[in-house]
Amino acid sequence: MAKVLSMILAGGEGSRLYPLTQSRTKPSVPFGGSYRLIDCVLNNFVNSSLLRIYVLTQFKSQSLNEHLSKAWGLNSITDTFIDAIPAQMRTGKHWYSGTADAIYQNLQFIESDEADLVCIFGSDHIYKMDIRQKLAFHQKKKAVLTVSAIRLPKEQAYHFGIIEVDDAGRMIGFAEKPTVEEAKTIPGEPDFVLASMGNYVFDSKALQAELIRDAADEKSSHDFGKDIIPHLYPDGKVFVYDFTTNTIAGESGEAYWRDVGTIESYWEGNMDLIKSDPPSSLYNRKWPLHTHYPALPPASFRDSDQFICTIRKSLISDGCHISGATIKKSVLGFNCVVGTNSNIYESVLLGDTKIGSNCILTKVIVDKDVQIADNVQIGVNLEEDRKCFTVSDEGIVVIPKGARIGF
Amino acid sequence: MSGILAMILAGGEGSRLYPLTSTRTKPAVPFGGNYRLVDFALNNFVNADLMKIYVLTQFKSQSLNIHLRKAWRLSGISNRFIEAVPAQQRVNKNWYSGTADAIYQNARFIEKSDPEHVCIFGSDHIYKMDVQQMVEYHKQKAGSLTVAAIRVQKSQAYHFGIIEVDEEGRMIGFAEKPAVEDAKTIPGDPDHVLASMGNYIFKSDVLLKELYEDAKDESSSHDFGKDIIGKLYPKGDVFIYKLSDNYIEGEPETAYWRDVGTIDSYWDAHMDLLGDDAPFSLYNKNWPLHTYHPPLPPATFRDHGDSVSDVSKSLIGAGSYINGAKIENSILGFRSHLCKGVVIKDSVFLGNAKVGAGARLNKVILDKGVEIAPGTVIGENLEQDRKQFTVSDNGVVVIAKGTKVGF
Repeated sequence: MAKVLSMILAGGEGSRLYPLTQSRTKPSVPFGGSYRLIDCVLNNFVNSSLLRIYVLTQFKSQSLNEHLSKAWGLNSITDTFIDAIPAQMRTGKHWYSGTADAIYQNLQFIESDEADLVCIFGSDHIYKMDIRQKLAFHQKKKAVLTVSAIRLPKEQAYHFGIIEVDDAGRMIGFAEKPTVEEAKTIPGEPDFVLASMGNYVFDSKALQAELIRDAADEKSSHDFGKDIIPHLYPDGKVFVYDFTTNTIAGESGEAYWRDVGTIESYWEGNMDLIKSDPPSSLYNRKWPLHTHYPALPPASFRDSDQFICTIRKSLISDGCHISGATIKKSVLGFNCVVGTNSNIYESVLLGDTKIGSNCILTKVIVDKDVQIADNVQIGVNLEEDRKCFTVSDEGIVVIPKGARIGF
Repeated sequence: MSGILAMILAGGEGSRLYPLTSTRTKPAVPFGGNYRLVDFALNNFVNADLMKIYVLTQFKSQSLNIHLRKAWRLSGISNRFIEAVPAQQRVNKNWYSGTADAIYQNARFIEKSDPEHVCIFGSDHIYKMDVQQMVEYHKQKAGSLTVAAIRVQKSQAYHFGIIEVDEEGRMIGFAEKPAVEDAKTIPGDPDHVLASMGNYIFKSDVLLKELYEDAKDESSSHDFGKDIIGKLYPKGDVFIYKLSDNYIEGEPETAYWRDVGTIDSYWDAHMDLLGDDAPFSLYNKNWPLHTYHPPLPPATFRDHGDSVSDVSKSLIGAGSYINGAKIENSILGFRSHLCKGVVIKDSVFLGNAKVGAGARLNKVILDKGVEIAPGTVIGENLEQDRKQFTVSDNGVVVIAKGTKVGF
């Protein structure tokens, strides 16, 4: 069994998720009621029994650091760790200039380790992957680098980095966001393309050599996708791991992989959890999703006057307190209080929020620590909402952290 | 000689809670959806920043040990600890014969730690107490022993050990479950008596001396209430600390303390958590109730055709899956799965239960791992239920752990 070291890139600014990223880095954005985005990739490693992990942080990382220490602190006598590494300007007084630079600046952690293989994964996608299966593929192919890719209908090619492969799964071409006509399809499958997921397994020695070479190249943007991979694949030792071949006990249906980098996709990622036939579920006893649970009691539901609680297609977290309200197609994080006769539709509440009585919220994302007074309506009149809040092109209203509304 | 050491008595068999105690010791019995009984005593110490704690276990303690390891393990940097101490037959080949014997058999832990005062608390009551305030009172009175007591109606005296005090709070008499006429009331408060809570703070040297003397006394039952206190208080330096003098910000004025030693009192205490004017709340951000939280997503609510989910006056734990069911006046622990058309009323689920479509449960306690077949009705015909299940005096039906009903 090869020894594996994992590096998680968690420095993303997530500017398209503003204002959710106003006070926190993208991997620290709450998701699905109980979780943070980074929990997804960490659970992929932990549930794959890969427990030697560095998390590389940079931008507004305090919230992420606290989460990592509360939820992911290993208390261990063996050689396992999940350690945050802040950007430390080890190679000069500059921040990380690209994904490859982030790893290069922390090269000493790889050099001083005995690992044979290094996993380099992003932390802002929603998916489940048994990474051991990818490692086995990498070793079987005797690859220098294995890139994860998801099989997508050709029409979506223009959103992604599209990889061209030969019959053996070897990478023979790469195009960043090509037009649909130009996108190279999978051999034998003319309607499908392979999109890079930005997740890499490297041979450790080859990675080190490649990072040193790239760092000296003044023309390079020091990015894995743009610089490292195009330089490596012509040697014929870069292979593509088809994510749809990954199997997890208890998971069924199509492989699910979603970027939640915009307000719209973030909202849709949450809505995916509560569909009747959900494409993505947080619940699988064979793939538990670990996170930090604050000390809170179960969600409590009370009647008030003539109103009882009607809850449809929703997720309600611990510490929530719902008094005679109607909640439909919504995700409520920890410790949300909803008052009498309020109606919450198609909304995502990140937690620690208080909503008064007789309120209506439709298609609203409410960040943490928000207080909303009685009789407030949000998402009903978007013209009005635009004057006070961020409203996405698709009409999702975002209430920023700590806002007090209607007082 | 310095500091405070806590010894929590957690060896209780809890035979009157059968069948909830058929596989676990009483302190490990789940309570309030997320918790175990022992969590309440432990939170009273931990929230008071008293963290040198031995938990003395004996009877069927595996479930308790697992819970303590998962929920209450402190990192090893400081001299704080919460450690389970199994009965080890250190002194002779006997199990603990009484509460004082349990401490006597572990006296070496007190000698080794050499604290100034020792707290000896039970672990099977539901209440909140800032133990630090009782320690301060004990130090201020400079007595050899302080006993915690709760003020109860004189008419309830026959349930409890009733303590007679003088006006300075000094203990001057004690009667185990006296007749109401005989119960000594509080000076100046003729309608109320002081009932012992079974919680003691001893001066360390006095405790050790008393334990060694008591161990040699062949006529003793080696019980704190019956033997040690009866011998100490005539010396005039045993004082009574009233729970009503304990102040925790955010808690109601009337102190709450419940024994949950029988099925009926266990059910009653759960009902105390529900409703607008609930006498006891699991939620107070100034007094967080810590416990072990398994990796589970928020409670999920779905519709099933025209069968929608209505919830009134209830607590619903994480990982629960409510698929078009009605829930009224009930507490559902972790991972309670209700299929369409299920109606749950006045019931307590300990967790990990599955109830099939159309089943109706009324005033039922469901231990963990129970599965109920579709269409099953429990709690509407007690004659019938008595043939299969334990039914309490007040008509609470108890379904034992792991039972499959109606298959």
